[in-house]
Amino acid sequence: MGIAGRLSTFSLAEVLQILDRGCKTGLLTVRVSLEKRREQPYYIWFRQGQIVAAAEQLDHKELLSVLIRRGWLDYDTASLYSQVTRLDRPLGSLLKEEGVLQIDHLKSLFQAQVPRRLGGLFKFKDGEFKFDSDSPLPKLEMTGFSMPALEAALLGLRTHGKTAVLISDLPKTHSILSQAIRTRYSIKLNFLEQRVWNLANGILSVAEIAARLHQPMDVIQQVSFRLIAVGLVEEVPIMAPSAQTSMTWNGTEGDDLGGAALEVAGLSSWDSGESTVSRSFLKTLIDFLRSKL
Amino acid sequence: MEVMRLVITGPVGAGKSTFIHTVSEIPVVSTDRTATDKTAELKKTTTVALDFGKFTFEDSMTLYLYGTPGQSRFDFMWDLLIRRAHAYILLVAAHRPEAFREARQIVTFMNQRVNIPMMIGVTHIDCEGAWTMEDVQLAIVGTGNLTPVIAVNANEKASVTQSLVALLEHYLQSSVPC
Repeated sequence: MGIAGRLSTFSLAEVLQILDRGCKTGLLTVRVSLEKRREQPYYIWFRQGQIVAAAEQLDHKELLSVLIRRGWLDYDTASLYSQVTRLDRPLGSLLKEEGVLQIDHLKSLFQAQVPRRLGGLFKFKDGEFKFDSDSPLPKLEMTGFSMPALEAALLGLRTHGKTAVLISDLPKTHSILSQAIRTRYSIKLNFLEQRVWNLANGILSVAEIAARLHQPMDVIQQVSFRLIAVGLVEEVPIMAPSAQTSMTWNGTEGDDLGGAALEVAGLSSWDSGESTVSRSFLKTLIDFLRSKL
Repeated sequence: MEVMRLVITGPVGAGKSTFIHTVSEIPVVSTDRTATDKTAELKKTTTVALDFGKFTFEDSMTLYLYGTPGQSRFDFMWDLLIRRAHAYILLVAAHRPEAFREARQIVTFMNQRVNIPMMIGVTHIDCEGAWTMEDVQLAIVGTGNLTPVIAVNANEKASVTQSLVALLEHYLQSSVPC
């Protein structure tokens, strides 16, 4: 049992947020549906919440194939590496040490392997995901580079947010934004994201922030959505307008909130000034409950 | 009479009503509210339930339990309950990740209004597709948060009682009343 579900109800950004914050190590498998009922799996490996590799197959040969395709490794040498069963370090790091690859090669490989591929996943509105914390890291697919999962989420949403995010998922224009009170992360925000984050003070609404920044509403909604998705900002729920209500309890109807139901439930006599209960009360209650166990 | 008020909240289907039914010494009071505002224009009857249970353990000591309305929108009833509560339990079904977002919103709503001890009660941990308690906690409140998390079987009196003890102990440590 573990982290698993559907992207339609638990977004990829939320998944990445959990893996990042939980400093998870293991394999995230995402299966998305393509046309003609074809299913495409994506495999993304994490070490301590950082993405270290991604592939579309589990044969651990994708990185070697790319190296051959780019002419950075010949076929025979690649075959030798593919037969090594236990590398003690990422293949990219090893090839750099051996002088086969330079740092720029590795950067380019990682860019194509992780941010670009992961970014593409944000196009899909549905799919299955499952995280396996027992899966070993695939040294043959690793360049030696890594990136925080949250940063990958932010990049993906920047690239594909407009097409991938439903309008109904965007924060409402009257929603108040508040900086998340959880631990801060050193994610690289772009200029506009940083400005929205600065104004998310628990008082200003999305519309007010858009006006302050002289930006179109939809742009600020998208930026806000990204910040909410990666957990930097919270959308404060708005209380629904109070209703003129009638209440029934056990068939008895009351005209207002002072009705029989509230009386019985101890609601009508509540004193809002009361804040604590005594220590002796708590100890007696705890003892009483324990005696029932 | 000294009274303590606990709120049992959480997304729809987390086990709030069952929790109160299981432990209350009185038949649980459920109130139905029929809205007559604009919501009612769209939907002829909008009914929400507020569950209330209690038990008295000394002549003059009573514990009240309130279950929040079983609907996703926050209204005056939520406000009424939470502003006067001493502590609350957020029940979350471990096998329904689609409800985690709503659970987070509830925590945000609560945090905006009150600063009282809270605990996460994870239900349905034996169901297929259930997340671990650690992962549920990560999904709801993130890391670096001292919110206690406990597994709860809302149908079992011992489990519900145990969770109440855990919340009260947390309250004792957090509030330190003299």
